Amino acid sequence: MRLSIYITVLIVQLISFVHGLGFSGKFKDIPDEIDELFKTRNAKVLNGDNYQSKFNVQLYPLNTDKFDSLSSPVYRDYSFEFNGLKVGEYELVVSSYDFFFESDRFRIIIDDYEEIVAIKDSLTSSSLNRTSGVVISPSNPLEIQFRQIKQFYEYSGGTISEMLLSSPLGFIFKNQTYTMLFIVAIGLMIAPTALQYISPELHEQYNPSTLAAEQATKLQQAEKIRRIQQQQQQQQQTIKTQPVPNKADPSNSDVRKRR
Amino acid sequence: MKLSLIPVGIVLGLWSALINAVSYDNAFNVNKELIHYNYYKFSHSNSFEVIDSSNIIGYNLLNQFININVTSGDINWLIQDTTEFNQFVIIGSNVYLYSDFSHTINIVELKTGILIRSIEVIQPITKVINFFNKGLLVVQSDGTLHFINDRRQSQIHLDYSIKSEFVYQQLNGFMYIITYNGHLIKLNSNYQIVNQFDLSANKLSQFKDFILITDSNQIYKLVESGETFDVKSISSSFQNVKIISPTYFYNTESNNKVNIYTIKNNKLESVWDNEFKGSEITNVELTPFALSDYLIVTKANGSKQVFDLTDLLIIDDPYSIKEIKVKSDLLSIPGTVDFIISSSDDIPHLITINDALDGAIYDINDGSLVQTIVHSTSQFLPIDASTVSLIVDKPSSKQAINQVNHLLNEGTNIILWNWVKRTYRHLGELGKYFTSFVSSSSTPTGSEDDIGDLEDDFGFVKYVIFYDQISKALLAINSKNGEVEWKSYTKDIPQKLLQINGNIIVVSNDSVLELDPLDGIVLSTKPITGGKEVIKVQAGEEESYIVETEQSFESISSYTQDIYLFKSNEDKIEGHKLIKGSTKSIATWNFIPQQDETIITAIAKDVESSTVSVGIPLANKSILYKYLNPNVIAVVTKSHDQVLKIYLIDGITGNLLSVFEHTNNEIIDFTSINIIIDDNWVIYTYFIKSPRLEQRINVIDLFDSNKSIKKSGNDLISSFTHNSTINSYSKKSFAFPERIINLSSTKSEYGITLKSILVLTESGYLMEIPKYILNSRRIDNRPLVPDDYISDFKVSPYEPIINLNTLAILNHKHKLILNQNEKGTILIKPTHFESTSVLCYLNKFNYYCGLVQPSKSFDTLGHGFERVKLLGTIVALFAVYIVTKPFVSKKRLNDQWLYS
Repeated sequence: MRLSIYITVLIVQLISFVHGLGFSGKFKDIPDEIDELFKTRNAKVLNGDNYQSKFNVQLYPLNTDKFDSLSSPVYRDYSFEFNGLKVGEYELVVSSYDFFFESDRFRIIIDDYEEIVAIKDSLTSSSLNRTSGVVISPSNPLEIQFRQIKQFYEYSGGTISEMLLSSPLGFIFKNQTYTMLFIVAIGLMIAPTALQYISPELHEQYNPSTLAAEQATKLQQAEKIRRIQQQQQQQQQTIKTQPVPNKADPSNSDVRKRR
Repeated sequence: MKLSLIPVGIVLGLWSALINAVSYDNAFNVNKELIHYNYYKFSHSNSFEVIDSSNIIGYNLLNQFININVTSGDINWLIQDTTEFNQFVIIGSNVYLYSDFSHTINIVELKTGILIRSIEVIQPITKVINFFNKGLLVVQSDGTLHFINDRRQSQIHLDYSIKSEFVYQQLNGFMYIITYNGHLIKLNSNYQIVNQFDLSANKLSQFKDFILITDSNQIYKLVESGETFDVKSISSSFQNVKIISPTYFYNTESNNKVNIYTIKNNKLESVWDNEFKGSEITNVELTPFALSDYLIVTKANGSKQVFDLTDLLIIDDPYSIKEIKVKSDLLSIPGTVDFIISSSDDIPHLITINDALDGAIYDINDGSLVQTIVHSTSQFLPIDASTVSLIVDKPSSKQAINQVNHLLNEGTNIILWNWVKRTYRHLGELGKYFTSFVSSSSTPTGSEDDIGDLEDDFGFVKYVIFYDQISKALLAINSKNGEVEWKSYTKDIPQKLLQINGNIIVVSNDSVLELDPLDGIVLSTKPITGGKEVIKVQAGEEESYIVETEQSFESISSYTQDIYLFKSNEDKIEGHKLIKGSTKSIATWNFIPQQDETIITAIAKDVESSTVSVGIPLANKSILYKYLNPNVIAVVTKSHDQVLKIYLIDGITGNLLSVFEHTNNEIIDFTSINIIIDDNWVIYTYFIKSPRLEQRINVIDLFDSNKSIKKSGNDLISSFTHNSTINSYSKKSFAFPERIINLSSTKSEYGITLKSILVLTESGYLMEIPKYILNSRRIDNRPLVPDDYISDFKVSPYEPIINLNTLAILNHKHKLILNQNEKGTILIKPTHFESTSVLCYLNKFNYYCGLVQPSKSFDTLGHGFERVKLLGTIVALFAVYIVTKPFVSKKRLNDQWLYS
């Protein structure tokens, strides 16, 4: 039994020695159309459209003390491949000048049975989660998920218009009609307050509370007059004397005094 | 887990907020940054091809495959490191890169340079043919024939094996291949074999339009009848006869005459000849273009004559040959190659161009010159940029120097008279300023120039000086606009460049030249003998150079104070002292590491770097003093069992100040080590494979808690009688996601600005990492407390990973081209603004110049500063004030009344 396993391993190793092992990979979901700032600014950027040429895909064999690495070009469909590998452990390090990826480091393990397993090996993780490995091959590529486009320029933001547009009221200012309606509404709302400072007399004249108060005063006065008239009529009927108006009544005062 | 990420997020957010990134508004501002890519020249005259007026492609001498805009000279795209290829074929919208006897063919998109596919063939390639613009026919060394394109790769199974010696023609949708031993293979355009036939012809040299010419100059006609072929002898021929059409042939006679022949009575008979007087004929080329055929004759003096054979081939009249006299202005440009292209308005143009991209474009209808092409002058190739390069302030013009001298000398003893003259001059200058302001506002370009002039006054413009291998001269490049300010031709190749007392010192094997930085004129030449290297020394205010010999250091003249120097090799560091009054140094100390250790590098502090902060105020009101000994030497060694050690040595006394030793479980790439020493810190980077494959940045901050460094006045000094051992330090290790190729740190005029570390990464980023991020005092064993924030500048919890902050990448979208062998050099020179330094990167592939502001632009207003908005706001506020003033006064008056 053991002999047969040894022979199998030997045959597998012999085949891998002759043909070499390999795997492929692909960067997933990279946008086809990228709104590049240099195009709108008419600036020249070398290999501006050739994002593939600005990838760096390196495979470091870990079973040796040497620092030689294998590299693969990245093709138009953002795929890459490595061939002629041997059994052992490798570290795959990928980077792009223009894009970030969800994972950019993988431990590649090629076992004695030619099975190639890729395990995410983030710089931030302290250990390798070997159970999370995925089996890869030339026909079953390692998929590396695109995360975001690298931004080299700071979006300043902070301007009033940008703040308004990005606020919850932004939908109003993005539409001209809504904006006009909004301004008219706001204008109507703040007009009485503004009027209070600009023209207090006018404000007083049209202030609803003042008008109501005046109306109430007039009604009170009318009521008083009616009562007085009733009293006078009663007094005329009883003692037949002339009634006298009360000058100390403040409700009857309409005199401005200087301080 | 989420909670633990919050402080990290806060820290990263804080960090990104603190980085002084270039805003969108200033992106691609040519006044802020300059990038220039070198392509040098094409490998040879057959290594390039003109496609149209916008594209010329080929291999250059920098092992790149490039596409250049012919008229502007800009690189459209570039493929780096194409050492395995040297041939290419354009097929449709793609270009196929290959090399004879290689196994690989790369298919690249012609428009963008994107790699479409890489094809591996089993046997080495011996020959390739463009097959009907559909793909390549590839002959492999085993004699098999294959069809390859971007979608398909299949073998064409032949009865015979074919070698590279064969001739072929493509006509009427069929390809006919005749092998060296007379086998004929006929393929249709779908690369299927239609017929295979044995011919009795052999040793063929040409095959066109069913006409065959043998090596022995016999002309045959291939006759196809059904499935059989016959070869009929037509005529014997002359030497070097070439086929124009089935009835016409041409050759060159005696290097000054071109003949055109036709066949009459089984003989070639001349029907037209043209004798070229003056210079000899160097090349005659039949160039078909659209429905026309042109015969282009090139003479040794570079002049061209073009003959239009179109009518001859249609009406058989030799007198219809039209001669186009190209009005050549390029008589002195050798090695040009000719291409006929269609211009944008469909006029055929002749482009004659050489491998350095010098040439001209002519209208082929009348031979008139359309455009002269001169791109060779824009190309530079710095030699060993790490040592033979220098950045200096833009020198003042002679006029400005004269003016200053005049002002200095015009003073008299009468103070009042001096005051009157000064007032008069200032009024004149003020008037001139207003005049220039008014005139510049009327011309938009003038305003930019003025800004440029103003910036010149503040040291924003530097000269980057290096030795150019192409022109064999020292070049001074303006860091702002990239123009060559001067060229200085030197007899020998420089080994080193220094700036001493304002002048440029050019050190070569046997001489030292002194150049004027203003115009590159040689001011003096001094021979050096037996010198290994030349070192700049500064003794007080005095700057000069000292020659390092095998045994000691020798100066040209003596100094008024002692000078301390050191020399190093793989085995030891040796300290030397040049005693005042002496011109030859004596060895004072030496440092020999342990027996199994090899010295990799030894560096001292940069004398031009300054710092004003001597300590860090702590929360307990005490000061943590920095260890600012200016004489520290950092020595990096590698032991036999691959252990890395850093020794810190006092350069004057030779005292071992401290040792930092790594563990032996690390597998370090010793070729990747970069180290800098500045302020009170040592930072070194290295690539490591075990315990984990990563790029590391190690930081050692040195402190002088016992105030052990002796002071002389305000200067810190080393003393033999004083113990200057480092008694307090902290160190931390960080991991960086990219491999670091080169390392440097920022400098400023007075050392007030924060320090930043500049790292050049494998991907071509030149990134700024603030020193407070690479702070060894970042706390890693407990949460931060309020006192921690007081005790350190911008303190944050220790995180071992330094993230790639793209906003801190100084070269932004412009990727720098580099490799492990071409690290290049990072050059920094402060401007007169404390906040800002000019930064340049130079290697043979490219150079970049920009600005770096580690503490943001605290003393300058950026280009994005909204001056107009500020003025507008002030005006608007003033207008509101004027308008509201009556209302306010009226309100105040009204407020005086009491309402009752």
